[in-house]
Amino acid sequence: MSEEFQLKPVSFSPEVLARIAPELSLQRHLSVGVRPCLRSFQEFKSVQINPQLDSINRYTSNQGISSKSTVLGSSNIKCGNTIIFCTITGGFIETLLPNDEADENVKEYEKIYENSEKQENNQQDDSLSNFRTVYPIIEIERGRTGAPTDEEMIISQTLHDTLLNSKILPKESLEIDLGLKTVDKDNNEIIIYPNESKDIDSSLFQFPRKYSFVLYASIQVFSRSGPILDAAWLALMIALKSTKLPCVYFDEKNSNLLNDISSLSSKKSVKTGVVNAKSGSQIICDPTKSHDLKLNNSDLYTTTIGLIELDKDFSVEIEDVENNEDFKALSVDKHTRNEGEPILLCDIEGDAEENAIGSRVVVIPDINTEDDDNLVSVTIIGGGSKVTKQSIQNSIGLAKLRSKNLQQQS
Amino acid sequence: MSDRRRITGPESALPLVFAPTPNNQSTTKSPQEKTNSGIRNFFIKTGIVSNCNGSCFLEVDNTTIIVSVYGAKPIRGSSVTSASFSVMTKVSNNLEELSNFTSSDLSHSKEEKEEQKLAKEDEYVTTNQIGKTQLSLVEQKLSTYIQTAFLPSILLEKYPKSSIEVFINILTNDSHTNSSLLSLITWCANCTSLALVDSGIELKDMVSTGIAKLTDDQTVVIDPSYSNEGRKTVGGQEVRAVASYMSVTDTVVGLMIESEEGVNGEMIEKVIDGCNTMAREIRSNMNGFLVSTM
Amino acid sequence: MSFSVSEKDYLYQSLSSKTPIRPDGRKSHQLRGIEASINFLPNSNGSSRIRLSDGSEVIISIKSKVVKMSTLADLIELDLTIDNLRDDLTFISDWTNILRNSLLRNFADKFECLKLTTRYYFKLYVDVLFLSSSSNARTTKTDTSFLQNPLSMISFGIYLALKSTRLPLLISNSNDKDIEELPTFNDDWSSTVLLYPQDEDEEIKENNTTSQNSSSPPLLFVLSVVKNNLFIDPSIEEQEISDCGLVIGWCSGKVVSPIESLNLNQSGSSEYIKGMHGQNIIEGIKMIENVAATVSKGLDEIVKDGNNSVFMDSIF
Repeated sequence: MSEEFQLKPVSFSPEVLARIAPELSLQRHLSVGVRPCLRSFQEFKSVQINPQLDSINRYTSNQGISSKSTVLGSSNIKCGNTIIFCTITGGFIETLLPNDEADENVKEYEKIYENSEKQENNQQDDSLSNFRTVYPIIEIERGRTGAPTDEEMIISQTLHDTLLNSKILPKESLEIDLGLKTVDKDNNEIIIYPNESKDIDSSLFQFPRKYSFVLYASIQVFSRSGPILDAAWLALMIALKSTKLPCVYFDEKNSNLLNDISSLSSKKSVKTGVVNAKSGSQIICDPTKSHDLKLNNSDLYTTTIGLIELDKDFSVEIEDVENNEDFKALSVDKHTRNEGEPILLCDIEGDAEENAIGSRVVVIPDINTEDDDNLVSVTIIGGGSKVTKQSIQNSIGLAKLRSKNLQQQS
Repeated sequence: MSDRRRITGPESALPLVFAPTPNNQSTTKSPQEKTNSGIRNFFIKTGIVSNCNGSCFLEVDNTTIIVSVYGAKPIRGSSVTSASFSVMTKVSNNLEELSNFTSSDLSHSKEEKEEQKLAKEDEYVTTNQIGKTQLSLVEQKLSTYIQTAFLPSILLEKYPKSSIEVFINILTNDSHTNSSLLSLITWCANCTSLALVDSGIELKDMVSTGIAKLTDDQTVVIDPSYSNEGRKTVGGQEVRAVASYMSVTDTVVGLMIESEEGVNGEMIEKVIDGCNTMAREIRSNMNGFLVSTM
Repeated sequence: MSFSVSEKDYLYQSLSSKTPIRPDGRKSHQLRGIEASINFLPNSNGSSRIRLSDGSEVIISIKSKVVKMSTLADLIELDLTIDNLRDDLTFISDWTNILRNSLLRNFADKFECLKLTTRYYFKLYVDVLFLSSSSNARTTKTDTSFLQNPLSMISFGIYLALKSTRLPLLISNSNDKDIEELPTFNDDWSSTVLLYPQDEDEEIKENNTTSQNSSSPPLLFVLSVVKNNLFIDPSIEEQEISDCGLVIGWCSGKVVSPIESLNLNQSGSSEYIKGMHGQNIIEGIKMIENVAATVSKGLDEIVKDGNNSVFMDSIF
């Protein structure tokens, strides 16, 4: 054994290091002022809002009215590499008329609805019951099937709650002014709507029940590279803006046949379907006429900012940062930031950042008001990193900036 | 039992029922005037999904498809000598259900026919397949066809103890021109082929797929697009076929022939020849595309 | 459990040679013998049972129900159960689709028979139970490595069951377009109507083959392709090493859709799957054209003989 035993330092290429020690690799990147994805700390991913999927929207298809589609609104956005498709579809629900005997199940639904709102927002204004939301299903493509993942569930719930609480979708927007399909003097079938025919007796439009739309959103995400709440929300908002609600009429004549059809479709709501199918079957969407969905304030954007602390032990010292032109530009952040303040990272990307980031600040600023300080919501998730007053203020500033940019883009 | 994992909305909600579009108002202009002999223009792009091993985006008329390939990934606790290969298809859940069986074709009294037509056209009530666990009929057929067609082409024995999974997402499907299942199969298969190449999985050969129909007067139409007009003639003596080829060995790896009436060998020969012609053209297109992306 | 490399190689060699030898000595267009009986389930409108000599068995029951008109495609429901396998396996729903679609497509004239009034129709529920000979060897609910493709056998069973199906006679008014009325039926079993009327007169049958044939349920034939050879009704060994599988439908004297390629190899290995040549398809169709008429004639004999169990071997 003449060979001398030596302890050699092992060195890895950056790619290998990023795999085996993501935390270390991330910290080293941060210490020189750049992120593993090569963006700088407060650089957002580019967002590209593509024209909506024309062919599938029922009422805005560029080839006339798409006769078979049931999609009311859609959007397609690209955020960095991530692609998101969102489609909005609808359904009917009976709503209660004052002093009217409604179906048990409708009452039940109303009750549940009010209750849940009250529980959620005990302290808040009761007027929240005047707003509605959509029912989102989000699917993040990652080569698996089966039950939704935690992330999908959380984001669906967040979108659902945020939309309700930001009071974008007033109850009235979803209410249906029923028209009537009837026969005129010459025995032609005509459809009349209350808002367009002033001269017709308004008593014609006294219907025993009142209906509202419910909206469903289906969001598909491809190439997920980080938390996708911001992009999903953006896609949902753009889809809602493009949504057109059908004009709906009450058909007296066609009741028999349609009874059969809706008895088929009522399989889903087993318990309540029978009653509703009978009354709902004569409620038919106009194949061509539609109106825009009215939204209160469609310029709300969520912005998620990650907070991470620099770990001195891991940092790399680059001797001649001052002389290196490339690093000068990048390390501006480093010098303006106070010691001890966490780093703010915009549009978290990659597993290393996702895992290492202890706290996230989610901000929804209201940029349409004169008063610049209006915020719809600020949420701080997690407690892994120190959250300072300064960092929250900076986050809000960044969120406002981004919202304004997105507003210009869309 | 309600689905607790998804926000499905109120139980008592009813699906929207749309009245059939009056004929004069459905201003159907084919997006692209198509001659009988050609294949429609299509757009392909590979590698658009970053978190998988290979992917391809295909657009033809208004049909858009994304195929992503995952694998070969290891399967734990299994010691099979060759990879398992599976295909999952997802038709965006709010597109209308395709039916390759058209009830209105059946012979009935005229009056009744109209009634049935109404019933048929009203089928496109919103399908809120929220929380569905099983594949729909169309998704099932598509998956099986693609799986059968691509099994011979992949060198599965090179990947022991692993799995290769193909996910097909049909984002939009053109309800004007080609809602036919066969057409959808064709384009999904071609898209899958490029996605597999993009994934770098070892293949014996690329599979290319063609579609053709044989009309009443025994002429072969390649890549037929079903315009509204064309759909009315369905039900006559028409044979539609999809066939997938591996051109190196000149073998048919996938085949599906549909016709309302009986067929004979001669008709099949003609229509398969049509498929072969289209498959070869697609193949040379794909070759050109792959060379250009190298 | 599966075949060894040399076993497979031997099989492949013998089947791909110019004068192929099938492991069970059949000719390439010869089906396996079946033992069949009909109407053995007293509770259903029509039923049949088919057994193969290897112990595989298919039991079919057809029941009917009166439904309000919806779409014609909803009038037939088919449920397929295989041994005690989980019913969400993909190939089971594939097979169900193929069987159901072939029924629907070739049932066109028969929808008229299911029509009761302008509002009401009979709906048929076809329940299929397939017991495979390998069910004992199976250890888990998903192990399918030794399952032979039962499509052909099941379609024979459905053929027999449909031909033996009797539906109750309507005694209420058949026109209820204006006045809605629930249909009522004669409760005497002896006055029920056959779904597929049997031709009593032999001579008419001989002269009028086409019209008689026009009211037959569809049959499906499974072919296995090995190089240039085609084998009808492949056994499990033949399925294992075939280049490609093909299912061809036959109804009323003609080859009909489905004509589809099929993955016959259930055990999941793909080394033998190669695809087929265009010529194989044409040959396959010719083979079916030659064989199918004999098969349907043979099955018709069973229907005629009624309840007796008939062993069909020499016919094919």
